[in-house]
Amino acid sequence: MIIGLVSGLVACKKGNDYPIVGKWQQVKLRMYNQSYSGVISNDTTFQRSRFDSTNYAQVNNGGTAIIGLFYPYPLYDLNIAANVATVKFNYIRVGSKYVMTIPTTTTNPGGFITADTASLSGNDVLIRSTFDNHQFYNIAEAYYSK
Amino acid sequence: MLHLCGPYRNVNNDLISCEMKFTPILIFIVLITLSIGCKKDNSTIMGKWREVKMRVYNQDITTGAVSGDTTYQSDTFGKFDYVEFYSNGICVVSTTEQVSKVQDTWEYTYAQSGTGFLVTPAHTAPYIISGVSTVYTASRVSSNTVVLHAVTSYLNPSVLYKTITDSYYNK
Repeated sequence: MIIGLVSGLVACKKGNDYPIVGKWQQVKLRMYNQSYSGVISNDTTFQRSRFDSTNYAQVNNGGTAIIGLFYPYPLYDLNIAANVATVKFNYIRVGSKYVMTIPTTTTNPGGFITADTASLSGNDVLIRSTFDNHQFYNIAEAYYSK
Repeated sequence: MLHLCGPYRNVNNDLISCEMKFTPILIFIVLITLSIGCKKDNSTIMGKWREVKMRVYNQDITTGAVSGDTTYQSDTFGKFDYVEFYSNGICVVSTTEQVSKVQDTWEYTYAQSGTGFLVTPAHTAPYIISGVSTVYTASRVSSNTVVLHAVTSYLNPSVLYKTITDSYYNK
């Protein structure tokens, strides 16, 4: 009976795993601006050849995740903060998406707001960052696969 | 009796030189002067300031040309839109979240830099993901007005401008 209970507990725990859990390799990055009316500009995409093993996302059980370098070399040299190798996130599942809560939304004194989410589509993970600067949205979309 | 130049003997018959007499006084004066000179006068900016205006525009990195120049007036802002500077070098910026209209507050540190104050976000990690980097400065431009000046640069190589935001706050 005890074995049965333990087995049940293990099964329940495993059942709580989200399909997004695991280590994902970045394969693409798209960056663009979008006006409030939906017009896209400055559309730039970096393909698989620009990424290596430092560009990854490790999504763990229990709502934590680690993201390696988000931008390909040499873009991160333009931003000192981006030289940090990894970023730790918490995430919670909200509908079909996972809201990245650490680093949480941030703002500048003028009211800039970012909102980062991850979503799973087939065998790919999309991590999307939206930055509102009161002029337009600055959007970065990183694609990962296993 | 004054002994301004040459050595003399005190009441214990110790030989005292001019240098020995004045050196401690000089050191004291120098220390006081340095202390006053280095003091960070946060008092000029301390307190709670309410947002009354914000100008945001893009500036071409090469030519300096301005585009998208937009100014929001006081009727745009509410009770959640303010900045508060504390005596311990911490400042809190509060804004109204655009969609939900709830309050967002964020902590910064600030330190005197030139005639103004450099304002540094407590957390820089979001920039790694969002691809933006912002440098903030605060300055008191009049007895009743503080301006927070934000210059945002973008990692996207096709974005050839910076976005500049000037937020005005009154006491």
